[in-house]
Amino acid sequence: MSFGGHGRLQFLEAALASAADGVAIVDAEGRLVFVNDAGRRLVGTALPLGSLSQGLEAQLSVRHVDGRPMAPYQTPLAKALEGERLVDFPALLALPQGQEVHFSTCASPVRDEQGCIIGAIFVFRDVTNQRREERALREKEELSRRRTEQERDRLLKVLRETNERLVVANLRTKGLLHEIDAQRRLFQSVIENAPVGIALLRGPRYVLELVNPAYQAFAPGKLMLGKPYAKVWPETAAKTLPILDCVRRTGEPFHSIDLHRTIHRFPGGPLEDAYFTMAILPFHVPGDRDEGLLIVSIETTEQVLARGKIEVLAEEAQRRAAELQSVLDNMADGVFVCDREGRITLSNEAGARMLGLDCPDVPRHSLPDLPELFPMRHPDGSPFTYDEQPLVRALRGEDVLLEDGKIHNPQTKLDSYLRTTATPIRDDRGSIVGAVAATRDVTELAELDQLKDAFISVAAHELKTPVAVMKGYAQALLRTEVDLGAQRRGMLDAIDRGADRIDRIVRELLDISRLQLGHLELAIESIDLPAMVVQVVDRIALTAPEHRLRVVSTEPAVVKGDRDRLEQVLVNLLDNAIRYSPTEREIEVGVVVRDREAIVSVRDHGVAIPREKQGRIFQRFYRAHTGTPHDYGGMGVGLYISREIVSRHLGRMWFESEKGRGSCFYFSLPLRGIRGGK
Amino acid sequence: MESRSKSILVVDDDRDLLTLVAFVLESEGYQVETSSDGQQGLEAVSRGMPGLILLDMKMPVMDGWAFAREYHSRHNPGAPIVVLTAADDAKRRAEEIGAAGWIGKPFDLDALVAVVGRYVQKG
Repeated sequence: MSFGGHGRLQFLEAALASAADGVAIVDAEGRLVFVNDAGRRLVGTALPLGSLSQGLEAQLSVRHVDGRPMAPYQTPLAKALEGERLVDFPALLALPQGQEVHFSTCASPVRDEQGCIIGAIFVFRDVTNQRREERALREKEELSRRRTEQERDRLLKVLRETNERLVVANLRTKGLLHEIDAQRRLFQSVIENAPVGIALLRGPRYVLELVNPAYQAFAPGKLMLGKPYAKVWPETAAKTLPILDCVRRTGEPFHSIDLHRTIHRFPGGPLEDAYFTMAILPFHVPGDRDEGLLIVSIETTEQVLARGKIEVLAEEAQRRAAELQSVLDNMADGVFVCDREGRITLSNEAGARMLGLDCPDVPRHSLPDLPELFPMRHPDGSPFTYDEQPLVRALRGEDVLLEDGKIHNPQTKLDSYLRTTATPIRDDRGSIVGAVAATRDVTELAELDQLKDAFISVAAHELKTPVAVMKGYAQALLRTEVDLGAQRRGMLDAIDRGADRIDRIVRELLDISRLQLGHLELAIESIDLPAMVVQVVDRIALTAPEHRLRVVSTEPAVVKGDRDRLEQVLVNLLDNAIRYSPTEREIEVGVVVRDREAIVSVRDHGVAIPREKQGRIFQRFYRAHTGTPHDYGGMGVGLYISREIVSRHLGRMWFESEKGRGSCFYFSLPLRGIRGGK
Repeated sequence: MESRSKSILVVDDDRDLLTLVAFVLESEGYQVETSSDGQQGLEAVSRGMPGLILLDMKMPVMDGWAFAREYHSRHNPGAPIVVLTAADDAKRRAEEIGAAGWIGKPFDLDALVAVVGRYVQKG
């Protein structure tokens, strides 16, 4: 090997030794002939000269930069020995300590003068830090790039969304504009058609800038639009302008109900009272500096006047009601009023007392409560059924007159006797809308009546024994065999008959008191009615030889009843017929059967019952012929007793009577009969 | 019936009626004893059982009901009782005190004689 002059070689060696890069030289066979200090330091190991570079490289484990192992022929030195020049060829050196060092290598062949390759020079520089920085920089750049892209994408998205929103907003704006237009028209329509008067006043003179038809209607004859308030309403300006000023100044709305004003409806027309319920509100028009006032007003004149009238009427009604209530409450009679549904709507204090209630509690009750609340009984002691209640009957349209009843007071253990009159209440069209009943406490009367009945009963009994004595002695004398002579016998017969008459009167009085006290008992048996009638007629015929009694029909009929009592009825009717008939006319008696009833009739051709007296002949002690030439005496109780007996047999008694034709009395008895027993 | 006395006891507080009934029945051939109240009637019965008792109900001292109660408790069976009363429910009263029959006041003498004849033979 030859490098020219030795000095030059030394210079070169010194230069190479001080170089920062590692420098190694190999001969043609690849043996290391030179390595500088930097080279040793960089490789970090002793590099014995003369060693094969390939072996060195193998020891040093030269790799590609990506870490792959590098084949021996691929190494920079191998390539340089093949004549190739490598500049900045990157390589990775895995050091025996395990660390990896990046190198940038240069290799070039060393040639002699003939150009033959005699070795190779290998320069290598540790670029590990540089590579690391480069990589860091690259990563930083990458990150930055990625961030930039993300930001760009985000901005693009925002842009896109904003755009979309703009499109939507645009559409909505169009819709809103449409809607605003519709609302404006609606608003206008509302104002135009509002049933309240609306006026918009502007400026310090309160010019009416907007007036709807309802406002105009307050004074149809006046020009309003564009005119100051004081010109439109000069008659009320003195009162109203201060209010307008106040609202304008303070911004506080003004409200008033039924405000009174005296106005002209027409220019030059009369002043009229008018009432308004109104609100005056400050009104700000957007974009306008001048505030306005809005008057919203409704005329209430008719209502106020009507209310006034109603109040007067109500006062009157209240006064009347108070008067009536006072009258009612001061009545001794109990008064009850019920509505169509049977709810008791009114009672007076006496009525409440009868029910044992406080007056205000009475209207909580209705008719079905009455039997419990007010267990009224008939005079004979049987309870009033619901349908028999006077108010119930009145609701059905019946006029109930003087219905007697009694009620037991559990506190005093005494019976109260009540007499009730009830009538339906009808409206203008005649429909029944309720009923009213007045109940009078007739206990005192009833007690007197009872006292009288008791007296009659006792007196009658006391009479019977002396009558028996009279009758007995008269008969005893008649029975003696001594010849008394016809005249004396006649006298004794008269005594006997007188005793019989007294006895009959006594029996009638007893019957009456028994009927009144509800003590009339019937001994029920089956009766062959026509046979009984024939028997009675025959017996009576004997006592009235001057009259002609005839049985005209005897349809077969068996009834159930008290034989003695039914005979008593027939005897009564026959006695009456005989008493009021001329002797030459017949008295006809018949039994017929009609519709499950047997009907007995007694017809005379005598004095008819005057028409005006016909309604009362069944009343006790009523004598139709009192004070007439036909007054043949009697107590006036026969028909009363007869009808009561018949009705106790579930039958009826009635009559026909016509002047000049006589009378016919009937009584009916059910053919099925009534249940026997006491 | 055979063993029974043919006499009739009439118990009534009305002296006139008592006299009348006694007169009529005696004239019909009966023996008649009279008492003016229930107490006397019981005494009369204790002296000798009659064939029939005609009994008024309303009497002082001892009325017909008390007499009948006492009579039935002492004498069972005794002579039949026929109630002689002014009450209109004579029949019921007769049943109440277990009497054999009744006659209402006032009465026909023939009816009285007929009823008595039903219970007592003339002696």
